[in-house]
Amino acid sequence: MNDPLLKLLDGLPSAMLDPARADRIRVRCHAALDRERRRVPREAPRDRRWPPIVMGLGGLYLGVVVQRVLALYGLV
Amino acid sequence: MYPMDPETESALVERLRCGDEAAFDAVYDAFNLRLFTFLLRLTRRHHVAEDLLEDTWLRLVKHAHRLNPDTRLGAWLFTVARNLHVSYVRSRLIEDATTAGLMTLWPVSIDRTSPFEATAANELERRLERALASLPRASREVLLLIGVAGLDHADAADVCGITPDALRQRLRRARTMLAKALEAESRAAKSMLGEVTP
Repeated sequence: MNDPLLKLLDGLPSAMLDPARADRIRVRCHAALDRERRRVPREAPRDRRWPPIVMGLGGLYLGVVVQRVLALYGLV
Repeated sequence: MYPMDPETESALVERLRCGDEAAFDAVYDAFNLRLFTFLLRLTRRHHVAEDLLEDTWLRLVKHAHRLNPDTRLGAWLFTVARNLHVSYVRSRLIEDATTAGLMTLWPVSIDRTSPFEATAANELERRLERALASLPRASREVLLLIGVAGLDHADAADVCGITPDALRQRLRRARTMLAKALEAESRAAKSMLGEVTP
C-alpha cells in the first residue's frame, strides 16, 4: 500500500467489541453449526433419492409423447 | 491472520464444510474484529454493528456446508456484512420516511457522532474519522474494504459486486473525495483556532 492516504486509513484503530457479546456470538454459532451438522447428513440421502425418480418419470413421459407422435404420422 | 495463504484458507473452508468448530473459531478469530470495525464505520451505531456482525456469522454457519472449496473467506464474509448493511439501510429508509413527521416534534437533535470519533487518540484521527463519515456510502465502503480491512482489489470488487476496473475508478474517486473532506476539516479547525486565539 503506497498511497499515503490509504496508509493513514490503515493506521486507524480497530473497534472494540464487548467480549461478552463476542463470546455470545461464538456460542450461538457453535450451536447453529452443531444443528446444521446433524441436519445436513439426514437430508442428503433424501436428496439423492429424488433425481433418478424424476428422471425416470420424465423419460417415460417423453417415450409416450414420441410414441404418440409417431402413431399420429402413421409411422408405427 | 488475514490475508491467509490459499492452502490454509482452502483447508479451513473444507473443515467448515464438515461443521468443524475449531475451524469456525480460527475464521472467527481472523475476521471478527475486522468485520466489526467495517460494520461500525458503516453504520456508526454500536448496537446495529453488533447485530449485523452476529447475523454475518450466523449466515456463515448456515451456509458452511454449501461453501465452494475455492471460497475466499474474506470476500465471502465482507460481502454478507455489506449486503446486510444495505438491507438495514433500506429498511431504515422506509422506517425513517414513516417516522420523519414525528421526529420533527422531538426537541433535541440526534447525535450522529461516530463512536470512533469520540475515542480518537489525536486530532488527525478525529478529522480522518469525520471526513470518512461524511463520504457517500459507496465511497466509504471501498475505502474501508481496501484501506482498513486490507482486502485486495479483486476481493473488494467481489464484495461490492463490480469489476476490478470499476473498483479502481471508484477507489480513485473516493480517495479524491476523502482528501477534499480532510482539507475542509483542516480549514475548519484552523478557522476555529483563529477564533479562540488572540
